[in-house]
Amino acid sequence: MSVSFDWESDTVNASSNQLPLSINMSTPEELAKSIFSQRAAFYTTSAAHKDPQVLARLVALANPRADWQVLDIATGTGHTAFAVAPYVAAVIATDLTPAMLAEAEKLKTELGASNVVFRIADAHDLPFDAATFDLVTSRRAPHHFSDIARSLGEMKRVLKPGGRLVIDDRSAPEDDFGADVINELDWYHDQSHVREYRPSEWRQMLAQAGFQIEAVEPYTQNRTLTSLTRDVDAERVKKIHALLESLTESQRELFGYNVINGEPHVNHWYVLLSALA
Amino acid sequence: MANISPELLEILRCPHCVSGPTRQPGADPGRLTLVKDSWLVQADCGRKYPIKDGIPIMLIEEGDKWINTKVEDLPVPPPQN
Repeated sequence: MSVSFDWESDTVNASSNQLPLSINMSTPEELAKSIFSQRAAFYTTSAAHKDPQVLARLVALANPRADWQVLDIATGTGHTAFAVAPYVAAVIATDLTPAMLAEAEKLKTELGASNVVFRIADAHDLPFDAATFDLVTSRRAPHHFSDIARSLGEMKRVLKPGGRLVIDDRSAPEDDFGADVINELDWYHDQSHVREYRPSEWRQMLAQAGFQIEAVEPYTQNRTLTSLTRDVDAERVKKIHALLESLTESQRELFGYNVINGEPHVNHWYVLLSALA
Repeated sequence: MANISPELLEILRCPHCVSGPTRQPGADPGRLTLVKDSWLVQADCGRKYPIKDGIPIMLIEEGDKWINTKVEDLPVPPPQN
């Protein structure tokens, strides 16, 4: 298998919506807030973030009931909250970023999702009483959390005993090299990424937080390389390209690094998790 | 408009008082009172959380900003930034 195309022709976005990557901020939360304020409108329509198959699987794992109180953590523009809302009594959806929730409020009006409300909150310090929720969900977010153990502890605290946690997050292959490379690639894509955990790491973390694991479902999606390079400055785009070009044949295979219909593609790893408090 | 029904206020708590090492003693610390239809006030620690565009801002650093402001001096509506 060989990949040959002209990297130089891959457009690097240098327009006004380029992210201010030189901003001097220290915590992943502050970075996430800054980055996601600018990506809010994009996330409303992002195919990867409202992927109907993944949302349907998440809802199936949650197995929601009509009387349930649900918390959706780091809701972004609310896709998960809106997917679960029709099946439950109420959804409280939290995010760190006001711009995301402003988009989510617009979607709520469009969808008529009257049982969804929004709060600005930090996943590490949830502003809720203990044993409040029947279901806690979080999609494509825990890899941004600066202290995953603490946030899992908070999820456990606010869940009723026996309540369910369902997470869908970016993940990594079990292979050491592959896990390092995907984490490096994603860090170039977004410096508020903290770590994408392997399924085996998720099992450990959930067990340590006191959860009883019900399901661990890893999956991959082979997406266009623009999924990593969009809105990224030229310097980091170069690093993404260089890293992928340095892969051996078998590593390229692991990364699904191919040209399909003239467009380079690369694998992204994800995992769906279900566990009981 | 506060967008806070009594049922939703019932489960909201001051994040400083309920989470992590700063959790306060007692069975149910961190209860909040709705003030001026636009602020959530924790009486013991003094943190006050604004409700902006109907969305409560439940971040500890936001509550910290208003810890020394008396309830009667809280601006209505809360400032946007």
